[in-house]
Amino acid sequence: MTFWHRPSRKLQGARLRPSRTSLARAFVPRRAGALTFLANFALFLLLSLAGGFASAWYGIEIGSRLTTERHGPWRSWIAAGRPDADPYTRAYMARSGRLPITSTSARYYLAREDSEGNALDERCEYVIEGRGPTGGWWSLAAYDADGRLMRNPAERYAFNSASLLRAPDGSWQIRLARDARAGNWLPVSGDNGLALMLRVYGSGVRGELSAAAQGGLDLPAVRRVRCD
Amino acid sequence: MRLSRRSLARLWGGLSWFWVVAAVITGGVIHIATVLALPYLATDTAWTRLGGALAANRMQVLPPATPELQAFPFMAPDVRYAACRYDLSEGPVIVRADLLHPTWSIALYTPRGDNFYTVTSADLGRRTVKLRLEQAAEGPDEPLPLPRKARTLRDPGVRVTVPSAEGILLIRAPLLGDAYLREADNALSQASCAKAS
Repeated sequence: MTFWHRPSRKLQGARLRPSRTSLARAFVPRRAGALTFLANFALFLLLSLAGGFASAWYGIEIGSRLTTERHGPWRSWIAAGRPDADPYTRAYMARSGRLPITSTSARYYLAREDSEGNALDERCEYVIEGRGPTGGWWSLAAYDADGRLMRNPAERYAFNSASLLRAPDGSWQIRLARDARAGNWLPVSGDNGLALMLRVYGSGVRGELSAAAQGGLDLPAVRRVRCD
Repeated sequence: MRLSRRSLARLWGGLSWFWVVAAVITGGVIHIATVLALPYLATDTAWTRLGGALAANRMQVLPPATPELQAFPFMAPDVRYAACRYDLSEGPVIVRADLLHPTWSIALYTPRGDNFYTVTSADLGRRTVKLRLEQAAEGPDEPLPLPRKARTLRDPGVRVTVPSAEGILLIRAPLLGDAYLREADNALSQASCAKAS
């Protein structure tokens, strides 16, 4: 199948023109009626606008393997806060309105799902359990879907590595529920979704990050207990 | 207008690969343009939230995060923050702070949210941190002039070259427990951010 005329000696050095072969005809219809043109144009608009914006939204809000790191329900933007961050991370951070410490000194893990992949629901009760993270100072806080703290009479919004009650073997459990629970109870309220943020700061972070790179970071599991 | 199966089949047959290829290319251009333009179009960035609320070259202790008041989304409720909007248009700015614990940090951001510099007391090996924020010099990077004899003991501070004339500085004091609240608030309220005299 030839797409181009083979130039004759006379035409050498002259401008080449594409021939109307079958391949060319596939791309350029010969006779397009008004309805066919409209159908083609509608297809063009749908594919280009929906595809362009939807893929951009996905790359910015969800992130890909190139920009984010996943550990169970926890997602972290690899280059968050870095001056040499990729455009997707940059767009995500601009939209988020946050000022994260560069990812080489601190890490932020956001969970909007439980360990089984179900979206976190503020009407449900969850147990968050684990042993780590082990290095530095870390804190786990509950927010609504927009990142606002949840109003509660105990005025308790987070547990951190210093304030948490641990079992003798070093493991810990946080219970996320509307009503008071024994142990580390983190109250949940409102009706605007639920998101968990785990932040790890400090001198141990660099060691923690290398552990994360090896897949050995001990991030807690988020287990749903029941739903009202 | 009702379309018969035959006219639908004709319409389907009339669809051209040209338009599909053109749509994929245009979709790619829209994707790239959206991703690149978003940081400039976003109206609710940290800079728009904090930049307008902070006075230039003055350290302010931010109120603790509560459901009623948060300086930015996902603000940590168990970290105390002090912030300064630095403005180097009239010369260098000196920042002084006592970082009481190794996890306390000072982070510098451009208006676009790039954290170009972070320091902890563990990095410097001392609790009292003094930074001298300067804009990138036009000439070669020269060391600070040696202090005169009478000022030998004055600490010139760690020189930080700042890529933009304006930006935000955040001191973070992660709390080791409620008992450390007063200590953290005291230390942050004594931190300063002012134009170099």
